[in-house]
Amino acid sequence: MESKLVSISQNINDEQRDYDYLFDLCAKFRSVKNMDIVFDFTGCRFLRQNAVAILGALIRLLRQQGNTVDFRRETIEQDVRMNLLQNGFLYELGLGSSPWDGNSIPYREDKTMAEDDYADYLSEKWLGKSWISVSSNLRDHIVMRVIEAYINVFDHAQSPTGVMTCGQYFPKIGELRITMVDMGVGIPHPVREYLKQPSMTAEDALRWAFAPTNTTKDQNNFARGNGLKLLKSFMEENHGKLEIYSENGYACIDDNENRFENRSSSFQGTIVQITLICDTAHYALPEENDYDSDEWFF
Amino acid sequence: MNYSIKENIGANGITLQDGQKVYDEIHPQLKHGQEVILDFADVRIVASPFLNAAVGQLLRDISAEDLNRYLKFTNLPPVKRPILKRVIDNAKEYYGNEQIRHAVDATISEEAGSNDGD
Repeated sequence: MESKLVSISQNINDEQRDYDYLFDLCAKFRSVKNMDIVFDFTGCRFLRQNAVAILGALIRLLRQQGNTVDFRRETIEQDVRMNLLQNGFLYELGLGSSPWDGNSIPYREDKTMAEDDYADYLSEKWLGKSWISVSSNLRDHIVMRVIEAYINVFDHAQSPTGVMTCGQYFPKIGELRITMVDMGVGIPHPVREYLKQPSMTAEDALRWAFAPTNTTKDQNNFARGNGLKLLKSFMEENHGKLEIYSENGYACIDDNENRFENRSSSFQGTIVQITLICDTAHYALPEENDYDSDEWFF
Repeated sequence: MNYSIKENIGANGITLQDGQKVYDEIHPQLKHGQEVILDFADVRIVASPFLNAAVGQLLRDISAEDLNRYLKFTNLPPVKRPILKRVIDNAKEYYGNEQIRHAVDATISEEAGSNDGD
């Protein structure tokens, strides 16, 4: 088979310019079929959780399309290699030995929905470490909102690779991040179809999807579309940050702003990046008398 | 009727399929004006697809007044309440609009029918 070289030649953080780099890479290689693909990491000294999840999704897609994928191991810097070994990325892709429990948040792939296991992953591998001290109530509160993004993939995305997840803890700034990546139909496309507005921009489609009273329906005629709103309200109330990249649309939700943009780069699928602060004193838990339990339907 | 989510579904109520199982059990009772108590004791995680199917879709053919009267929630801790509230509000909006849409459609059809007859 003909071979092709994929060069990851820079450090990849999780800022917009880093996503641009990864999106260009995906656009360039995602339709390649039946080739020997080799990744070279010369020049890359670190990969954040978003890069790990996106590369995992791209590699799975490439393999599904009849390609072989390998890494030039000698080009992977020691720190990067240790991180990719420890978080299980290399093991999951058959490129390294089994991971161990350490200070990284494991990389995981879900081709089909494993909701109970994913809830445990969020509870134990992401929130259950020493870097954040959460009560069981707060832990469940966070898991119940974050898992909505995971379910959305299987309900809406039609992703050929399922969903790839990776997390990272940033001790200096006291933040915890998680990135979920699918290579499905994205958010703008189904919104345009539902509204019968084929020329709607990705920015407007994302804005529509987050608006409180906008609801699509599924084939069973259920009201749905609560997941994004529940995530959004959680971020606004708890000083978190939710970023979504889908097609060329970008949404950023935090307690300061709701920002929607059309961008120059595009990703076929959806990326959800969630940032939480580790100082739990800033979290607001719902209280007993917030809702009148006798008047649910009024 | 007391319906325990933990006993019938498990420690988590996440998926639409599990929500549908709950709906299939409680909908006939509520439709006949029987009281249903949905018990969330020992349920750790709930998510909106589950509640959409279990509770939200009840508003398709049962009025909010009847649901308030006959459907009770117990052992529902505060962290789960905003999700239930969001699902109910969304379903009221959605099925409310659907009823309006059907009413408009019916009126248009009737008017079209009477015009035909003229």
